[in-house]
Amino acid sequence: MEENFRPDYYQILEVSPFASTEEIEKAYRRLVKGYHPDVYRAFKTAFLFRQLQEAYEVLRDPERRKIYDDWLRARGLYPERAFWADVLPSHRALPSLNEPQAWYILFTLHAERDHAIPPRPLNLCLVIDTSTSMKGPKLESAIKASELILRSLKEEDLFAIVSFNDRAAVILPSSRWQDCKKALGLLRRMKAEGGTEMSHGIFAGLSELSKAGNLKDYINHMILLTDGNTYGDEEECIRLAKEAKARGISMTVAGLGATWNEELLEAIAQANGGMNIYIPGPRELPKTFQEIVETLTRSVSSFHGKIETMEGVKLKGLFRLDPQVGRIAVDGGTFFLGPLNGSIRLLAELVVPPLTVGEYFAIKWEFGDIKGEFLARGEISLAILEGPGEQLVPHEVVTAAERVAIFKLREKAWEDINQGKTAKASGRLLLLARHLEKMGEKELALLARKEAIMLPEMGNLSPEGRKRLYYGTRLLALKPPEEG
Amino acid sequence: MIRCPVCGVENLPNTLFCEECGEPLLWGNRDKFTVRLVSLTEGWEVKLLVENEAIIGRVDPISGFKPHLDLSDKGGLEKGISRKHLRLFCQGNKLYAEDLGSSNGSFINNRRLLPFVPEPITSGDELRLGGEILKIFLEE
Repeated sequence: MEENFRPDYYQILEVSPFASTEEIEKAYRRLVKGYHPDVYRAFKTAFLFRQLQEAYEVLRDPERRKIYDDWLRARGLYPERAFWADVLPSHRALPSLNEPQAWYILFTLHAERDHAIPPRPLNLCLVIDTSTSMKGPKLESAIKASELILRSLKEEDLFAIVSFNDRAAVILPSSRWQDCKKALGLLRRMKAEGGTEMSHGIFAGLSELSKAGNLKDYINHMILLTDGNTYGDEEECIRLAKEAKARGISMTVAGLGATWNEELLEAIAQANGGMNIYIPGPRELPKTFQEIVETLTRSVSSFHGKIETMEGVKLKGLFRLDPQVGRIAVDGGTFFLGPLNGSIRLLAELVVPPLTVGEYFAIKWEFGDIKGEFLARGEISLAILEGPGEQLVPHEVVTAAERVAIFKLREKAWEDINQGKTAKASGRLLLLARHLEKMGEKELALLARKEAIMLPEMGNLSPEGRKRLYYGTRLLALKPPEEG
Repeated sequence: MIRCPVCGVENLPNTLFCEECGEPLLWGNRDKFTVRLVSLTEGWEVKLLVENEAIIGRVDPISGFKPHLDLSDKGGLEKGISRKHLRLFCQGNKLYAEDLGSSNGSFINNRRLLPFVPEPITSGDELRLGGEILKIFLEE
């Protein structure tokens, strides 16, 4: 092949060099859907579009692909990629209007552990509520879960355990795995007594995690377990969760049982960029903790992101869809995503101001890990066209937006309940039930309907129904949409 | 602004789901089309209901795939129709056609469709799938 320059077709198609022909076809279909016929005819996007066609033609054909791969290898250009991002806007073109309009971008981040990349050690801290209400099976199962985690750790991992009630106690100071073994006996010393002051626990946990020295070399994570409400130190908890984010420490905030305040736990998780999960009872606890640790072990690294808007475009909201739907706190365009493995989807909701006809660079995006080893970035252009635009929105974006719409509807219902507007909240729950029914979520729909009917009379939701609705509606996104 | 048909709240143009009640705003009120397809080569005529989507192609007895409109008994194989040849679908009160990577291609009014790039269809357009020429009419 006598060519001096060939573009990186894998990059253009946003696929891994190990992608199968089916994955390449899928990627092409996804990308090509975003191109509006009027845009590729009229603007410089036409060049990108032709490149996309070319990349597809070469990579779909095993023979041509092999020639291309050999050409890359001969020049040392064959990409070894463990982290990449693909981008799908709702529209590549919008009509020129004299009012603002909505725009959506779906980011999918892929972080894949390759054999070439050594696993990053864990720097883990368990922060366990030992207030009086934890007495009995709850504390027992927490101890059992800690033991299981201890046994599953590897040599380079660091582990610490902190308990808290009115104050915090370091049960196991941050130690290497060998020393942790001695700790098994120490766990039994935990006694359930006193109140719940969560911020003391988070503070002590942060101190233990920070002992690791260079945090960038680890997957840093705190698992906070509570079964009750904290009193008077909510603001401090949120501040500490932000502090953790700044140090590259992600959090899983786990509520056990049904008597705690999911909104506070959500606020803590959101301030951190971490997860907020519900554990119905002590029996489910050990398995859930093990799953969290397994997921962490598989993680490539801890990631953060940045979305910069230009031309007066505004970022209205950012949501993650995997592993559960949640709002992402954005601070000056930057945000923390925590440890990643596999794929996660993020949906950005944007507002585009009135613009004149033309093609604009509207968004700059960047995702990378705390160590600076992995980086993916790019720009997204938006064409503004004369006259009414075609509204052909890729169905992946529609599905993502639907999940987010359900999340927001649930959020609004909770707001109404807090303000005592039970009739309004009840109406929202009925709407929620209708959406859930349409999605085939029969059980959850039935629950929403039942709670909606009881709400005006009871003035509140049942404690269990509240948890099941809150967390059930966030897990709808677990299954990525099937390609049609 | 666009007004939500369910709760009446005003949303920004192009909003996908109503900010107040979550109602889908994208599709307008039309998700069904009945189309009449007239073969200019063979003279046959069929009506096809496009509810969300309809695929034109040929039955595949091996995989069990069955398109919404099967052209195998209308000389589909001889005319070079692929099993999954063309997809018709509705969005935003409009009907679109998308070539599904067919071997012999799809054309609207003699212009070739790029594979997997949907284009809008208007009543009276001429569709060519391989060697079959169809006139498509949208029924009210």
